[in-house]
Amino acid sequence: MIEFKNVTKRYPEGKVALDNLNLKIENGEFVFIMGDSGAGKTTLTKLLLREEKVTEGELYVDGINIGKMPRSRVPKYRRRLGVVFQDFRLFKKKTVFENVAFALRIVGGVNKEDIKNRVMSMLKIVGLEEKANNFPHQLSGGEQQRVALARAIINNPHTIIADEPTGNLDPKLSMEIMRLLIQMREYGKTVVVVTHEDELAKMFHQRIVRLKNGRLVDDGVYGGDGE
Amino acid sequence: MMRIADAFGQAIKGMFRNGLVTFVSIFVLISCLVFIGSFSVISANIDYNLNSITELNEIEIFLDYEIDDAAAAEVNSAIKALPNVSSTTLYSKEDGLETMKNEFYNYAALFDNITPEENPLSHKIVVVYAENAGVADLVFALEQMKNVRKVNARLDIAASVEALQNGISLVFIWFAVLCAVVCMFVIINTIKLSVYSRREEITIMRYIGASRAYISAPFVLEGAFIGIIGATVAFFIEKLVYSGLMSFVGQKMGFVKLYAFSEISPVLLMMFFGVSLFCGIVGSLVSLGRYVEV
Repeated sequence: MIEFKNVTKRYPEGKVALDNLNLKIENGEFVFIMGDSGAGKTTLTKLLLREEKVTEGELYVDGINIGKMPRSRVPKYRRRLGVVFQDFRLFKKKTVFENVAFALRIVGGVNKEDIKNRVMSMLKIVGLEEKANNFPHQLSGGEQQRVALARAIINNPHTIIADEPTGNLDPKLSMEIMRLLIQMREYGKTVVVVTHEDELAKMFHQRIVRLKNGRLVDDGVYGGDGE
Repeated sequence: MMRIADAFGQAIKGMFRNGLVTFVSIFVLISCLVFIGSFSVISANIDYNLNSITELNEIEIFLDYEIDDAAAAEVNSAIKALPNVSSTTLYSKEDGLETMKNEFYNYAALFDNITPEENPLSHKIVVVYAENAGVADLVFALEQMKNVRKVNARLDIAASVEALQNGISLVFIWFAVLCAVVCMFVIINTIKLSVYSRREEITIMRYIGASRAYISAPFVLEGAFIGIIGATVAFFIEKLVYSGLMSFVGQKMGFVKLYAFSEISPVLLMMFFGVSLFCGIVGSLVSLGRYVEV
């Protein structure tokens, strides 16, 4: 479970990015975090990734106050999260297989054979089994995002955080990625999707949390039958 | 195991990725090491030769006029027992007169009529001391001895030699520190470029959950490789330079003594690898800085 308790994030220059935010996301839930530019979406993602620390309040992930987590434990914490970015952030000089395998190598303790089996089965889930030996530049935007998703989930994280995952994709590919993310919920994952694409979010009949000037202004389930 | 192999692979790739900068870095490191090495071997050899000069330093002791040979021999034995005395030579009054005759051979007739009883000279003892450091104490001890009339010590020469040795050591240390700083600066910039060219990868690694050590290892190894290559090449260049120096000194300056290369090579090797590995590893860690903050 993710819980923001009276969280305020103030940057050194004085800008308040999140203002007394209270938000609870249950395990296995799918949530869209929405808002215009400057609403605090990126800061919320950074706090979850522990790239930034809360200024006031407490942020719990699975019962752990990550604001007070020592720096040495941050890498291990991040291994329990799966992260997907708008710009995919793939290793350009590594193949699809190597990109996904890299996340397993960091964790360590997995032999070559296991890595091969797990990566290939993950690529099968995202439909890229045939492109394991391709390099990122040989893939479409949607395919690159699917590689990023495969990499994000290969370590079996409890939570997936997707920061504008469809920002660089056309509507058809965006739908494809969203369906894959929703599919992750079926595997018991908590999925947090940060987006500004209102129309797209409303299509999936999922919980939508709306932020404005760092404050929570709306929280509910909207929309249609995108699934 | 795979992590270590991966880090090694990344480090070697990094060296080739920044080929020209790596080459310049190794070149500067070699140049600095050869300078440090050459200066240290020259310094060691100057020291070696200065120690030989100090071996020639002697103290002359003139005994009382009235004492006989037996009493002079007793003083000589007492001096031999003093600390810091390497050897002594006793010259009788007659030896002294003979020396004067030889020195003033154009006036030899002046000395012909001097009988042993009329010999105006005294016994003389020449003392060769072991260490420059304790000469003043030795002179003081000699001056306090019975039947000693006068002590001539070249303390100024001993002091000059010691000051020269200290000066050379000081210059050498400054020079070595300066070269090490230059090496470090160049390696820091090389690794910084390497880190900069891989900054996106580093960011991705951090988000995936790579630890600081995992991210840093390839860069630290890259710095260490630069150091090892630099030290190895510099050692062989130094060997060539020293052989040339030995051959030149052997032909043109026969009076100068030099250490054999085999005598100085272990120290040189340790110094080269120590300096270059230190510069490589510390330089890498400094360059990584905030890039690897998790």
